[in-house]
Amino acid sequence: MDLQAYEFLASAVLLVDHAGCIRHANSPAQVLFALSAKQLCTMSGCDLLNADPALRSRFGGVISGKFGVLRQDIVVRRQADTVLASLTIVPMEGGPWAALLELRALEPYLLLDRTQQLSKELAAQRESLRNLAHEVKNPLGGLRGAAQLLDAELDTEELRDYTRVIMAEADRLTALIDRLIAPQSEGLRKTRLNIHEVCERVYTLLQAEFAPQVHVDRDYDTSVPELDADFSRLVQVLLNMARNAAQSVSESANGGPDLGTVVLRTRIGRQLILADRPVRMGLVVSIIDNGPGIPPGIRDKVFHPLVTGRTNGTGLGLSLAQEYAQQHGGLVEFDSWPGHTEFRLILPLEQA
Amino acid sequence: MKPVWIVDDDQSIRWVLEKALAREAIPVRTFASAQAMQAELQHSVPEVLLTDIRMPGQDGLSLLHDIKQRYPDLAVIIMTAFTDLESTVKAFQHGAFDYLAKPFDINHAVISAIFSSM
Repeated sequence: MDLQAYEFLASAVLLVDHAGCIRHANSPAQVLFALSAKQLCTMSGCDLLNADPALRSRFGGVISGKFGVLRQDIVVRRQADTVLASLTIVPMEGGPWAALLELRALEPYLLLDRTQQLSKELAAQRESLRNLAHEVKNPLGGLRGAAQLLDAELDTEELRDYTRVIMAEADRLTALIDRLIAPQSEGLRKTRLNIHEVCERVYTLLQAEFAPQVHVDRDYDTSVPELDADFSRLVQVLLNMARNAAQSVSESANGGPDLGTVVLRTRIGRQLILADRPVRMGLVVSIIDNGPGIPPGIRDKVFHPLVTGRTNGTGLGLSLAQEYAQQHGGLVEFDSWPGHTEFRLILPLEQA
Repeated sequence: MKPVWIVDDDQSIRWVLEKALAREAIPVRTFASAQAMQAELQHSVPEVLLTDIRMPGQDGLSLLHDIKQRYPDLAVIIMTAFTDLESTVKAFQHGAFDYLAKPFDINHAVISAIFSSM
């Protein structure tokens, strides 16, 4: 193999032998770690990557040919500072090398900027919604009051039906506006909780609403540690995500032979990027469905209030979910293509 | 009985409240701004004062503050389209007698708040 070819790449490439020792490092690797090729070739891959026990064991698995390609984001130590990088470990069979390590530095500021931009946009939108709500409630006050006065002047029940409709519809608008501006003020009521209590509540509610048209699977990692969070808000977050999933699969199935499936999954995630910082360990709750996916036209704005893909949707569910997740220092993100949509609630877990 | 005064920049709210109070035979005067009301205060004092919070010119909370300095016994009822905790707390801290969220129910909320303040 022509090792010189690796010099033309922008990403850092390291080759390790069957003992896990580095045997070759291209120039971008030397730049990334700020070490010479000679220095790098005295180190083991695990030590260089400052691998935690989980990565160490997976690293060993790749080298011994047990696993295939491994991808994950890691924090690389470079002398005094650290760099966030995406790591790919590719097993190499039949050569003098056991595996190839490819590293690309992620621009954390770009990533952070993107998520911070989103939360700023959402905050600005909430502000204009609050102003709009105020402007709408004044005329509603006049409307409802006038209807109530008219109601008192009318002598027959049939005529009162008209004023009752006016008042009920005014109340409905008020309730909608209150939902739009509700999540702002009051603080979180945090308790120590197990995320699976939240998941089970959501599971029960989902079953009650959608069984038997939708099949709900649970895939829990029971080793997930407890966390301090607001139980009812987390239920609301996951329920909003899960109801979208269930509605999407039940609408698309429409009596067809394939049963729509929604999966509730919990995992521990490492080296995650949240809105304002990278975190070492986090809780990832995924809601996965096999529905048609998010329409491409609304993909970049699903978290904005009043954006919905359904004719009878309010467009408030995900905006509220995102807001509650952010109140917990976390976020909601998603991947979607036809047949697979995964929404993830990511919450930071403090170090044990 | 002295009249109930209402300060709100929204004409239809003033109209609705005027009609509702007239039906209960409660005398009423309405003002479109805090300034207009303050001018009338030179000549007479109301039984109860209902005021909106967000108005052009002097706002309702600042009006409430002025009134409490000069007429500590006058009951002031705050009306607002803001339903958040913060403005409610502020209103009561400034000495409001009651707090009505718009859109309100005339029979249950408004009339009973006025009667209980008399």
